[in-house]
Amino acid sequence: MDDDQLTAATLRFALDREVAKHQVSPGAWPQLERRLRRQPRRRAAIAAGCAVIVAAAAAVTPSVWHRLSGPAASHPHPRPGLHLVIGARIPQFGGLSLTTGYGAVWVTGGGMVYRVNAATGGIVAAIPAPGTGDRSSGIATGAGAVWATRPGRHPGVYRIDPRTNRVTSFIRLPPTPTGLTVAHGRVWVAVVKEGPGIVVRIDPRTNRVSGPPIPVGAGPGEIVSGAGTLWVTNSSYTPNVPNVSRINPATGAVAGARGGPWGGTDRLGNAKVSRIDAAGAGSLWTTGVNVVQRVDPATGHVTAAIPVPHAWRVIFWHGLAWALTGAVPSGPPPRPGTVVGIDPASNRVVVHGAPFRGAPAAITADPTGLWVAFFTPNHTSMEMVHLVLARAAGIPAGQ
Amino acid sequence: MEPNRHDGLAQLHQRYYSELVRLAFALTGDWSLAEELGQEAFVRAWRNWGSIRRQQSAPAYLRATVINLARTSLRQRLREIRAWRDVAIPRQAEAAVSPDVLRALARLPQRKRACVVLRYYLDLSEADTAAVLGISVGTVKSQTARALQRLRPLLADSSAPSVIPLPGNEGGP
Repeated sequence: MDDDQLTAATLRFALDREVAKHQVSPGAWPQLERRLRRQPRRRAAIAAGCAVIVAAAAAVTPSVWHRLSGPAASHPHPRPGLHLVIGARIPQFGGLSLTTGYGAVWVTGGGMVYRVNAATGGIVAAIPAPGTGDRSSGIATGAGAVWATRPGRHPGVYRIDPRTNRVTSFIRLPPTPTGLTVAHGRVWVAVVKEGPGIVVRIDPRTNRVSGPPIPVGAGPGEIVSGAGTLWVTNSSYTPNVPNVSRINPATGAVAGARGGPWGGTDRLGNAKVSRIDAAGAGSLWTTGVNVVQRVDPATGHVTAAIPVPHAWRVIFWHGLAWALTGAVPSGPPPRPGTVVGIDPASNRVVVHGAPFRGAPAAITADPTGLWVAFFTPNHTSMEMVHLVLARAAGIPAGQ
Repeated sequence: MEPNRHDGLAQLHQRYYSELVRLAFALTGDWSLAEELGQEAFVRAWRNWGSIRRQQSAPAYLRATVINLARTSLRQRLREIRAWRDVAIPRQAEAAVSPDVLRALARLPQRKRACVVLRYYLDLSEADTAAVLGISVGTVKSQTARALQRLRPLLADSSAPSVIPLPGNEGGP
């Protein structure tokens, strides 16, 4: 064996040894399927193109826009003159997951959890939390702590004390924990496994898993608490398994084993429900292709589809449903995003945000406003903006 | 999703995803990033499915995409680190300590790194490596030979710095 062969063999052996320390995420295909479902298809692209033309025309002709998206005649305009303006702009290292709480915005990125002062926009702490900050990790606040999932190697959930900005506990979980929420006295964590996933409950008093795992569909991700139920979005379609699993938080029981209105693939974005983004005004809210959908939590049926071009994510804040628009993360071509507010009383768009440059990655809210993380136009870094409600004259809405 | 494209991609994913992640890991030294790049390669394959299917070139396309994405990601990471150098980050959050082999690979220029990983880790032929990288077979031979030459002392040297160099900090051509 000559020197080159020996070096090559050494390289191969050493790389094999390093790779053996890791494990390919079992939820890789479900996650990919979820992303692919969001890829624009030709028909959707044509519709989207038409919608863009309409939106552009409306933008240059405000009176036309208001006729198209204004409130129904029987319902006076509920937010006269309000619009969203950028109150602060913060460069970010990460930002694929955001949450708010304890007077701060908490941002994951590059194995760190950053604490951003909600009042000043300044970064006040960078807390090491290895393994957090990729696309599948989640972050949530509640029960006196900040919780962040570590989906990769050594999976689990970090508990961060907001008083000291330190990790105080790490709860080991099976691979691969993704989304989480804090509700009904427990931390609820979605875990992607080969085949059907599970939701595990963590008791924040003991930092231990509480109760048996709750079986849900394949590829569980986000968990939304609302209408007395936990709504788990399963990212991978499985026959006879609902895309949205409903968990009774008191008993841990999963309602409706079969799909029904919660099943289906919603591939055209206008029929069945494939995910739940938010709860508010007695409804659940999600997005389809170029629409924001309002869903009856009792029946699972879509009760309203509000046209919003490139709607991607919805949250509920300040009595309105807010749709984040633009390209999905890593879904080029990057498309500048914005945020629009929908009045649940009329199901009409009533507040328009100024466009921010770049494709959005995440959105959250606190009492002061909306926080949106987005990729810069060249996709080389991220920024976060604080969007506040203001009147046309620039006077903050709350004053 | 369109069934044919979906099924085709599912088969490719089953067959090549693990290989692509290993390739990305060897190039970047970051497993989480490697998985992300593997996923992104399939998303791009999905978008360009028509041309890939015609050319029967999906594996080469996927490998080339991962290599390009790895290069872009490392550059991006460098920019981010430069952008954030004024933020006080605790010492333990600095660049990950890497094992010797990844450290040694990271010291190679990107093309040499890709050549040696494709040839000796993924066991591609010289012709296949050339096709993935869009270079001639002769260039593959010379780049691989030089890469091995540079790797030899690096793999034997355990006293080198333990931080993966980023683009711009790497060695010569």
